[in-house]
Order: sequence, then structure tokens, then C-alpha cells
Amino acid sequence: MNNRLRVLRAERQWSQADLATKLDVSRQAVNAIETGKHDPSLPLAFRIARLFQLRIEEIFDDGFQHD
Amino acid sequence: MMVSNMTDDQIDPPAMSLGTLAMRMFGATVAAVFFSGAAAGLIGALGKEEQVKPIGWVIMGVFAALTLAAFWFAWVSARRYYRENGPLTPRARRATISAIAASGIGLVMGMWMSVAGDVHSQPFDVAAGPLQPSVAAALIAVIVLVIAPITWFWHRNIDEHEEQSYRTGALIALYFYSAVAPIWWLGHRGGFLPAVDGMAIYLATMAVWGVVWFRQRHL
Repeated sequence: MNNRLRVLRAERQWSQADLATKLDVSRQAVNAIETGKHDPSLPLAFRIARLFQLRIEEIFDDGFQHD
Repeated sequence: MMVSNMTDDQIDPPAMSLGTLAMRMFGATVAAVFFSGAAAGLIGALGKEEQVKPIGWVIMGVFAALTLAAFWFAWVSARRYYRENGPLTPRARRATISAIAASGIGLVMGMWMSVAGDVHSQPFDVAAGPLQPSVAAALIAVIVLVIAPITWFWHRNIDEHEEQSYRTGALIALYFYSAVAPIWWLGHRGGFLPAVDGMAIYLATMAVWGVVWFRQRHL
């Protein structure tokens, strides 16, 4: 699943470790989400969305195209 | 929208990978075992002489210093890894400490088992040699009363990525076990393989689990 996490993080000048601390996960988890190797659970996706004050679909993109 | 002028290296400074740390730890362990073994051998040889020449003490001191240097290198590498990959969240710190504690206890158990199982009248066999009942009971007690609670504590503190890596490793390891055990058993019944070695299959299954976990988690 594609996501804008790295861009959003860079805009705030946060390192992966900074974001990991804010989300209470490991730096490896942040890296895995950013590189698309790990899709976050729904609770973690909500935490990410709340942190950036965005909706989940504004951060994550599953590639689905509406008609 | 705020746009960052920072480069990738400024946002995410290059950090030592776990693979590099593992290589450094392996090198330090090999060096420590080699140099401490050489020092121990020299002490044994010098102990047979009535008067030790000064050069003997110097060589022994060099080996001892090299052993300490290997430990220092491991310590410095570990500190650098955690400095560059940190700061750890409280949860990650708890998980890391519990994993290190379990690994340390496992190492001590392995050394204890090796020493207790090294009977001079029998060939050395760390995997299947006889153990004193008290030693075996003590090792079982450590597994049940110490390792199991630490494992439970570790599971309570890992994040979802670690948990998924662990589960993927467990699933592939289960498939590995489910294939290897009956294949070996059938091969033995067919007369072209030796008797099934449960401990060998267990260790191979753990190795598969560990490799898959490492790949999922860190690569």
C-alpha cells in the first residue's frame, strides 16, 4: 500500500526515530511502513492520522480508483 | 504547506544497520574466544615450568589485552548502534532489554550445560550427552520459571511490525517442521536415512524461524 508518511514526516523535519517515539513503535516499524513492507493495523493507522491531523485515506492509498 | 529544506541525511542520518552490528559482534566473539583460548593455553603451558620467563608474561598480557579489546569493541559497537538508531521508545527499550536478558541467560545455560556435560570418560556431545539429574532439573526450572515469563513480557512490549515478523517466521518454520519431520521419518523407515534426530530438527526449525524473522524485521 502506498503512503505519504515519509513526505509528511519530512515536512515536519522529524526523523524516523522521532516519529517512532510519537507513535510508540520501533524505528524499524516506521521504516517498514514508509517503504511499503508493512501495512499498519487499523488502530496504528488511526494513531498516524490523528498525529498528522489528516484522514487515513489522505495518508494511505490502496490504489482503488472510484468511477 | 510547510516544505522542508533538509536533505535526506539531515532528516534521517545514516545509522548502523543491525546486520553490521551482528557482523561486528560475531567478529568480537570470535576474537575474544581465540585470544582468551590462546591466553588460557599459555597459562597452562607456563604453569608446568618452574620459572616463567618475562617474555612469557608479556605474551600472556598481550593476549589478555586483546581479549579485553574484543569486548571493548563489542561494547562500543552496541552503544553506537543504539545511539544512531535511537532513541528507543520506553516500550522498545523494555522489549530490547528482555530479549537481551533472555539471550544472556540462554548463553549462561549453554555454557553450564557444556561444562556439566563434559565428562572425561565419554566423547564430548553437547546435544545428546548425559547430564546430571540435578543439572537437567535446574536447566528445566530456568526455562519454565525464568525464560517463559521473560518471553511473555517481551511479547507484551513488541510493536505490531515485530509481531508480524515473528508470526511470519513461525508460520514458515511450522511448514519447514511439517515437511522435514515426516520426510526424515519416512526415509528412516525406508532404510536410506538414519534415525530421526528430534533435537536436530528442533534446532533447524528455530534457525529457519530466526532467519525469516530477521529478514522481515531488519532487511
